[in-house]
Amino acid sequence: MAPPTEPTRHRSTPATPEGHGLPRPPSADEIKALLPDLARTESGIPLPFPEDPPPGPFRPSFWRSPLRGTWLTAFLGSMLLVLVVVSFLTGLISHAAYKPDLGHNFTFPKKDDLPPLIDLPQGAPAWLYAFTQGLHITIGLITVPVILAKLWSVIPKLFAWPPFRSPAQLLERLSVLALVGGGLFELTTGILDIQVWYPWHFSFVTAHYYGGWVFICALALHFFVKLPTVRRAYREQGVLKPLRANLAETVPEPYEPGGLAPASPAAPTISRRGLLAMVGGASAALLVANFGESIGGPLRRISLLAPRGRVFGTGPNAFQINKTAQFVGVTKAAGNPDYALELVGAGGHTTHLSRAQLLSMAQHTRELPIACVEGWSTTQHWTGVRLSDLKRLSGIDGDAVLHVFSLQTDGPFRQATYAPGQVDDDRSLLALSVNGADLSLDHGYPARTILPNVPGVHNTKWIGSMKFYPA
Amino acid sequence: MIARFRRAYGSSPLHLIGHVVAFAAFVWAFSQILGGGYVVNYVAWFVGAAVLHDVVLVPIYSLIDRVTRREGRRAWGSSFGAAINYVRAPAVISAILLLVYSPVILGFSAKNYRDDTGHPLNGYVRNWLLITVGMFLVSGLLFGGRRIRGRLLSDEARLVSERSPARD
Repeated sequence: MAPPTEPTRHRSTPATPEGHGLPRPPSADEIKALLPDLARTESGIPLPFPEDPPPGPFRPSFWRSPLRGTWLTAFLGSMLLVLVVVSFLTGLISHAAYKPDLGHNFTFPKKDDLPPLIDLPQGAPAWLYAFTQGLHITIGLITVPVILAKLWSVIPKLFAWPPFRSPAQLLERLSVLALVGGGLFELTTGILDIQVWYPWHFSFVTAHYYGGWVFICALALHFFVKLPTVRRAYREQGVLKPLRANLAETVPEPYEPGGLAPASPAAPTISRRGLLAMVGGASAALLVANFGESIGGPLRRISLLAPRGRVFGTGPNAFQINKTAQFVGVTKAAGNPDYALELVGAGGHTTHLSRAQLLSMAQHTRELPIACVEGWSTTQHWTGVRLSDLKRLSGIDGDAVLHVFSLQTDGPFRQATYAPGQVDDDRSLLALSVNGADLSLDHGYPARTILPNVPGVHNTKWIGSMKFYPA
Repeated sequence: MIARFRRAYGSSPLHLIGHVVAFAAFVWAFSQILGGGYVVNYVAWFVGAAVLHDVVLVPIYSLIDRVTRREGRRAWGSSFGAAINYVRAPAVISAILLLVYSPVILGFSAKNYRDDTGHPLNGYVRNWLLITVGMFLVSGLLFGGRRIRGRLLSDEARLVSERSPARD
């Protein structure tokens, strides 16, 4: 608060404590005149901040870009809406693909969770999860420039003065915190996850999944609150018409108090379409930099920044590894020549099968991808025993849920649980070899599961035990 | 009744209902996350993402843009105005690539990458630099091409106007 000036004090009366001419105490009206006017609600209730904005970004004259305005924000918002909805739906698909309602597939407590909402049909082509998850990651990445531009376009609103004038505005601003915080949180955690860097303590899966719910609920609310503004912008300025203006034709939108257009616009240095082209260019760069790892083959190499964009040699086992045998500490157990798979069936009946016995069973070869939740995938030819054959061998003819356990002793994905439909799928294998060669230790020797449309980590490696439970 | 509500609340009853429903959803989702503990750590990331963006990232890039334009004009005069976007575009794209891929470019992922893939994390700095240099080169060529074309066009226009006597 600015110190009161001294126009009322008489020059000849020094304001000393012992002075005779102490200035008379100011009247209530005088105090009121010295204090800044308080902002008031529409119904006249005073708010705890002055009507006049403090200097700097709180003043409308601070923001000068002539591009800012409702059209630009509406246009960027419309693009974001499409991108975020695709991310959210593909995220739900991925959540359901883990079959979180079975066994310990959900890595966090199931209490109060919604049931899986979008389950891929069991008969779907085997590349479908690789596609939806590749889309989830790719769309997330190309959203980054759009969200940065969108936030740039509305940054004056952060410093709007007064901070709120009604309960409605206060609620709206809190919901915008959930929207912006939620969006940036989802992008940040997702982007760090695909690069396997976890500089936090909370569970990524929990935080990213429920963070997605926060974001989508905040976005739905924002959509309905802003829809009239967006419609007005498109009606008054055309949906695409501002894109036709080159730099010379770029003019600011008329200023409205509390709006996005600047009060004192600077001369434009770029057209609106130029800005959008830059955003699109950045999105395209991110797309090209990453998408090859989702498709694989020769395209993998062109994605220069994709975490799984590198090719390490040739040979039947020279494809992408997730967690080496050495790292998880199974080298000894998996290399044990006396290895025998424990097979538990109806009534707890247990048999043990050596690798030679498994190889003597009917072998089937299937072309299936490992499709990682991180968005990369790699499609190989796997050979082994069908899960349905092992189920029958265990003594169960009807539907059964299957729990598989790895020889690894630690880690959330040392086990997985498959639904009856997945067990009976003709493509689901306990693979013993890949591309005509024995599985390498890093790819799950002596045996691993491989199923269509399950997240990569649920294709459990180094299988030690399989337990079928009649469903 | 509705009018009195509007005056006191500042918007329609539907606005309030929508916000109450959304905030109930936020409470459900946050409680599911915070049930796992690490409350402070989580809140710091959630709010921190927005705060870092709004009060660190935006001022920094705005300042860089402003300084670049001022120094560019000082060095090359007003013709820099035509060049600025040929600098901005590759710079912005390169900066966004660095921002997004900083864990692999700057090596924060090095340990986990090796544990997961069995290979050392390297080559990403080089790739990012290659992409950046490539984009600046292409942008420079485009700008040069535009300048040459502009000059040829203006030469042609002058020749045409010299040949045909100006009509008053």
